Amino acid sequence: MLTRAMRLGSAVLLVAAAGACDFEVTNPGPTDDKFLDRPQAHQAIANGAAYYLFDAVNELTYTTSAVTRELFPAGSTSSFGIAQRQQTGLLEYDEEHVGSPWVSAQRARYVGESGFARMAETNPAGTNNYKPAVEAALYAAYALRVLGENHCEVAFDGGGIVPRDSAFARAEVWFTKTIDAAGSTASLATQKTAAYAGRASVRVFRGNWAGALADAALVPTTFTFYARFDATQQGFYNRTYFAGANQPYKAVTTWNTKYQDYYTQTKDPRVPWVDRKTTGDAAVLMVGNIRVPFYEQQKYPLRESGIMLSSGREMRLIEAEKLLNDGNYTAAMAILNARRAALNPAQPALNPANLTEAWTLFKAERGIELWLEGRRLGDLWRWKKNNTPGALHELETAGAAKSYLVAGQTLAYPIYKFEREANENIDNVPATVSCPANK
Amino acid sequence: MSLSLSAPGRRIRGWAGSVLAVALMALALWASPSAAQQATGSITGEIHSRSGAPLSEVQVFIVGTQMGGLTAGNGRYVIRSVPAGTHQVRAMRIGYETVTQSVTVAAGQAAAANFQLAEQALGLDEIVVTGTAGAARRREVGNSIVQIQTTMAPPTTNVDQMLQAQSPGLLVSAAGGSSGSGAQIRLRGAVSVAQSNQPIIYIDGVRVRSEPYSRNISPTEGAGRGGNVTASPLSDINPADIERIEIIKGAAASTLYGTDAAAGVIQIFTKRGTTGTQRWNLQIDQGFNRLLPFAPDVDVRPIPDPLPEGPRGTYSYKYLNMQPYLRQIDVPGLGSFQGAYRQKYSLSVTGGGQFLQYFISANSEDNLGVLPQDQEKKAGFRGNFTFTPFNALTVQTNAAYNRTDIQNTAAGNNAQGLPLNAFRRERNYFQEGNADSIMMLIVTPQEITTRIDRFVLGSTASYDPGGAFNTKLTFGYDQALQDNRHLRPYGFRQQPTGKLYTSAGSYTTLTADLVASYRLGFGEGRSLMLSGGGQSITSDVREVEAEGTDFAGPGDPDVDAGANRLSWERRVRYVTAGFFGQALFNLNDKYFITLGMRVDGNSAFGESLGLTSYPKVSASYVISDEDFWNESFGSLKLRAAYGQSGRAPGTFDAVRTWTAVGYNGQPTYRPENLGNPALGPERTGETEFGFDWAGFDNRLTADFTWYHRKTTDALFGVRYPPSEGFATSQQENVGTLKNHGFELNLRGTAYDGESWGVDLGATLYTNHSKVVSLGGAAPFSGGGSWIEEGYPVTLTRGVIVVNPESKSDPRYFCDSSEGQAAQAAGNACILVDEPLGPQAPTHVFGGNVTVRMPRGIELSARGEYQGGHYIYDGPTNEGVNRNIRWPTCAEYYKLTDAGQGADAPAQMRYNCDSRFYRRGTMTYPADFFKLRDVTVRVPLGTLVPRSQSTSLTVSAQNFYRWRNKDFPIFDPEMVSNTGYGAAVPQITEHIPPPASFVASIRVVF
Repeated sequence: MLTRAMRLGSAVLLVAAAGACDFEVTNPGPTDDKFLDRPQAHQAIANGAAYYLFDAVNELTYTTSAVTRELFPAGSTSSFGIAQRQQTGLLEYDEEHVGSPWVSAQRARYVGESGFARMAETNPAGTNNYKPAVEAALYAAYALRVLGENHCEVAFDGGGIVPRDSAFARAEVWFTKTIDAAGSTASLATQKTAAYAGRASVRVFRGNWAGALADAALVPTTFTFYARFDATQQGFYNRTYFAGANQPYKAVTTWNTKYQDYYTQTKDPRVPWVDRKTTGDAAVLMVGNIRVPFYEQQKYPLRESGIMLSSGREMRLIEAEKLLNDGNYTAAMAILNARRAALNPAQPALNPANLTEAWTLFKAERGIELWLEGRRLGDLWRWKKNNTPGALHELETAGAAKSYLVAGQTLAYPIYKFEREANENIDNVPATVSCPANK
Repeated sequence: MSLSLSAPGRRIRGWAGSVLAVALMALALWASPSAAQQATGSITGEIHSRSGAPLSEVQVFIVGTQMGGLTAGNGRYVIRSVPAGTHQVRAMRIGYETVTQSVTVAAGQAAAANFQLAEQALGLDEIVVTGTAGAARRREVGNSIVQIQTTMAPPTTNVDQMLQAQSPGLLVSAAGGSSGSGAQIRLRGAVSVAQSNQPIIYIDGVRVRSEPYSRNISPTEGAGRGGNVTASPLSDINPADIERIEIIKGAAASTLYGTDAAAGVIQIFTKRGTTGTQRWNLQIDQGFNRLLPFAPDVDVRPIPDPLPEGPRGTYSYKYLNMQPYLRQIDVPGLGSFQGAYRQKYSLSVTGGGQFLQYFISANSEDNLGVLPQDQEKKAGFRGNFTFTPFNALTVQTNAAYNRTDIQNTAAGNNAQGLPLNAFRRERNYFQEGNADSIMMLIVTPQEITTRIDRFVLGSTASYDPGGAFNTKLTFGYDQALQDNRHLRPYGFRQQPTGKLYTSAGSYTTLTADLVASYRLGFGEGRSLMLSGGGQSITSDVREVEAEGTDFAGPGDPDVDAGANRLSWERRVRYVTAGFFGQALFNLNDKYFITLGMRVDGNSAFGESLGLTSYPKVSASYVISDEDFWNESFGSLKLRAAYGQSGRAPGTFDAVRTWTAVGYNGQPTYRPENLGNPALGPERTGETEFGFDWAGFDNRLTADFTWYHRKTTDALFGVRYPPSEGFATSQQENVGTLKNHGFELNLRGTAYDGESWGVDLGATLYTNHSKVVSLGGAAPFSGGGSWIEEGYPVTLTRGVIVVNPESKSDPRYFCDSSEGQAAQAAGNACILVDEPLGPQAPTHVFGGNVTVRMPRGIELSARGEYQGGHYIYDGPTNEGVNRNIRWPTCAEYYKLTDAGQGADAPAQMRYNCDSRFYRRGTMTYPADFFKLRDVTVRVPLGTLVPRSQSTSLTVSAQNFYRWRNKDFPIFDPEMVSNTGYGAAVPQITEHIPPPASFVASIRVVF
């Protein structure tokens, strides 16, 4: 019996040993949040904000260019396509293409804002003249501009719906923080100038023309600031390039846009495209269920082609727009014509007969200058809201483009379904599937 | 210089074949019974069933020794070198009564001992080991346990096929028709929303990998550019090596397996050596797979119409334009027909002496797939050795190695895949409807290969001195090495400068398991068996992936030939360990109560959680052993069980983390996981009641089980608003799920004559699940399914067209002002995200019949109906959305082509007019019936010279299918784009699983 008991005891000991296993394992890969407090990690935080900003810009630029007819849908509707309803101008809350830029822009904002706060706490010298902090603030600000320019309503931090101006106001705050933090550090001059340019564009939306002009004046005409993409990772290719590069997608074309004829007639290098002698991905119902010619845009010829976030040329357009607001269309056209004359090939000067015609030309010129930069939807909305003269819009294209639109076509994205369902401060289902007409 | 992947493989197999044959013979000779050192004789005889049919695979052995063997196909056996004297000879086979008889052997003589074994319908004294601490007799077990004998199973390529329709509550769905595709296995439905519902797998007591292998797809191509095939670790096991499979279906039985066992346990027992004469088994399988039509044959053709006939065949909607690409078999003199040739060769030898018995096997197979590039080759060997250094100690060591080479055609929701582009014809991504062009552009250039080398080693030392104490110690090592490669060469139309993806994965599982039992007697008829033990499972995953793009020119590149290169690494180690105790009370061998507890720790638990425990209790009552029981009532065991088990969260779910990745040459931190220090396992408690009954002289048996499962602390990916800026979901223990149902298994002998007999069987299984609580979380979706309080786990939502017969456009939401106006006018409006029903079957019926004929010929058939569920059809949704003329819309096209589109009812417009597209439009009731197999077995006696027996089996599997009338296209068993590992079944741009036809000849020497 004793022997048996010993055997049993041995077994129990072994069992206990098994039970005393160490469950601590170290797995490489994800980074614990606490490590981000170290200053060595701060630049990567700012880069993370940049990544999400660029992602949002990338997707919005691509999708929105078809909505605004900077490009024309060429059939594909999912993945790299343009959804059927978006093709006809319906931007609805449950559309899949509405969701991902919303998520990315919010992440860029959060990573930038929270990163800036973390750096303020954990960087011994604080945020002033500190490149990671300057960039975190800058990318957060641009993300807020993206939200404001493209969404009729916004929400932050799980809160309720607020007007889109809240995004612009918040963007202005963060552009200002960028400028303040950059101070006079020479190595941060580019970021600081970008912040001036970004703040100027936001102030335009807020109607603060004096502030916009003041900022614009600090941005040289040659200044450019880009969202950058990656030639090595398919998910980070320039989407407008990749969706229309026949690898394998031919989801958009310049066919049937105003830029098709314009480029044919002018060879204006700002809106290049090439006829690939083939057709788009799939049939397009709104033009008769046919496959449409595939004219490939050439503004972004590479996977890594950057998308302009701000530029000196945009600042000159702001200055011109202010002049038009003031009725001085001759001076406004002078700004535009200076740019046109410098192009290769040089474009003929614009000589409007009156202010209204000047507005029309200006709107077209801004569309050409900022072609495929994801800015047009906001411009169209802004001009419509302000009853800006010069008409255009209604897809501002030649031909029968207007007939492709359905009733309820809107010029902004609503808050995405996922946000509504997960945010207890917002109703799950909106009163209208698209943005309310007055927003 | 680079080498072709396939060339070394062929060399190794050729070399391996020779070495294997020599090794098999050497080992066999070494372990043969030693020449008798004393006066010996032999025992020989035949074993028959009660009806007189010879019984193969019966274990015949001398009690108290390792001497014995198995009967051949003709029921004969011989035990040699038996010491002269009187011995107790015992004959055992699962499903039959054990019979022992006394035999006296004279020196130099052969003693005869024939047996007749009666079928033991309930098998109350059979030993089962799965779900119990150590082994137990069936009568002692309070939970249901399935035991599948493989002897009579039709010849199959994979274990998952072998399991199909074998038991109520066990659902096996072949994921798709591509080579190497694994099958999804569910036991009593889903227990988890966030974690895997695939049962865990043991082989001979060793925990092995049960989760899917990695897909052969670059991380940069989330949509999945490869074959979109997920291989299953179960496919590495040669079905011919399996003796039996035990399955426990849920927490009521799986408590002692602890965390991870909530979805059930499948334990595979491979064959063991037996003493006595060496016995060689040769099995040759020849057959083919054939794709069944899966689309309606309608008379409205796509544009252009009519289609030209391509040189590769006739275009047809029945295969949704896939017909020209499907593999053909050329039969000399008869022409060719659609089918993919498969062949398999298995050789095994079993034998041994008193100290060592062995089972050694080798197999090789080559299965072409129905898609033009598809092929699966396997080769492997196994050595199972039983050492008995002294009577009380047995050491069982099993080692198996298997190599699988899979070659795939690009498929799935893949713009560079064959089915997607074939389905969409000239409106595909290549703008080519011509089959030869598609072959040239899409299929032939791409090389998609996967190699899996799997090695499983297990050793169990059992010490049983024959008294009250016994103990068993098991160590196991399972390693799978996976090598993936996907090449799109320079010049490939959609990747003009080429792309090569390659990955190497190592998946290791280590098992250490100790169990000890001590039996205490408390007077006559009362005893207590105490058992305890500990177990540690360590899983280690290491994956390295690389991608090279933009090659300098044509050739056979490696990754570093690319001008742009990317790489990824993943290392995850995961430990679960615990100890358990069990007490089994036995009163008069009729009443049994089992109490048990498992205490577990896990490396994925949150810091504040510590250990967790899972209790179990079960009772069994063999009421038919009572004095008051009338024997004419048959045998009856009542049983009840309750147990808990769990599923651990993901490795990193408990920690707030960021992912550090490069972007455009810059390091970035991106939000990954919110973290939750209190995160623990989800806990599934399961109650089951049932009975096992056999009556009418054992001609009819019935197993019935009612079960009720409740998963608390269910892990849900609780959604967080994107506007908060961090991760949009976090695993939290917030939910409560439940499901319930019953299982009924009836087996009967309708006729049992001397030469003829008919056995019938029927099964019924129901499963009704419900999300009881979301813990305050909002309803959420993932992968096409919804989790919502009060609805099944998981729920299909879809679009409902109100006033579907009205001749109006279904454009507006019904609750919008426009929709309300439309409705008021009798026109259509739509309700979106409407709950339609569950995604898992709610009721499953099975039936089987076996007809025994003269000369031992048997004809058997099994069928299965599954119903009550819904499935989403992605290809139709996406095809219609892209204005591709689709066969399901033939009636609509007739109207629109005739300019009568205004006559189309709203539902038809919604289904066929892309302007009304919304994801989820094409969701169908997925009821179906399939004839799982029809098999004929013909004994051929000693047709083959020098053989003991020869038999021929011809089997047709899954060759007949019935679908719900509202299920217009594809196959309801298609699982997903990503293969069987997907949580939610849905139809994507794959081909359905094909039917199989195989003839197998088995020779025993």
